[in-house]
Amino acid sequence: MWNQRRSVVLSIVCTWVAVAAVICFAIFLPSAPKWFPYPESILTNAALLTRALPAFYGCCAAVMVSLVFLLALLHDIRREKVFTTSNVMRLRVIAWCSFAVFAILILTAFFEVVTPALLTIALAAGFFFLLLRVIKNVIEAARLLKEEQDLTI
Amino acid sequence: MRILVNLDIMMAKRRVSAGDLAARVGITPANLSILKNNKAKAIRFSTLEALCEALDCQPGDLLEFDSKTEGTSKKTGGV
Repeated sequence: MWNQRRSVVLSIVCTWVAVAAVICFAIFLPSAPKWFPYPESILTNAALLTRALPAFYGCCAAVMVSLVFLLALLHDIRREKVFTTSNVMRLRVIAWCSFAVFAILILTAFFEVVTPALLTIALAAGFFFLLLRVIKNVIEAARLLKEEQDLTI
Repeated sequence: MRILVNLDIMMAKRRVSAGDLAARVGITPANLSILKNNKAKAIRFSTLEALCEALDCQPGDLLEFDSKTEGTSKKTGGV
């Protein structure tokens, strides 16, 4: 039977898959022009890819940091510690990592390479940053409520 | 918190131990300790009523407003 515990475990497994995907992406990125099947993509154009490579690796680092914090957050949720100061801090870090991806890709689009895909990912990261900020604020408010509830005698 | 709980003073006056008072009021010794050490954020009227009954006192004997210290605001972790 499906339950909340299994749902959290599935989220942890998905996060580990994402970690593996980011590592594979980082390893195989320089050789992408040889194997990437779409000729219109930035990944198949070696000259463009070389210019965008630092930005891609910067994004990989930010995504990796956010995935590590996401794993820590999920492990805390599994231990039924949801509304805690450390989880608020983790959400804050993940939100700022999203902002870092947004900033890196927007700067790359302005100064190096502009492609619709880069702009779409940048805007998605920016929107994700806003969403995570709101979730962080909600969790923080819930933490304060829980603390007040716990300390009401 | 600018509201002080003078529970220890009343307990000393009435010569009641913490464990005994907790049992009479119907709260855990841990919660009584939170109350005694001014760590509590709020107190239910039912708890206050039980405390007043157990210690034979008025709410004003247990609670005091401290005007000298600054008020507490809800802290957030950062940006």
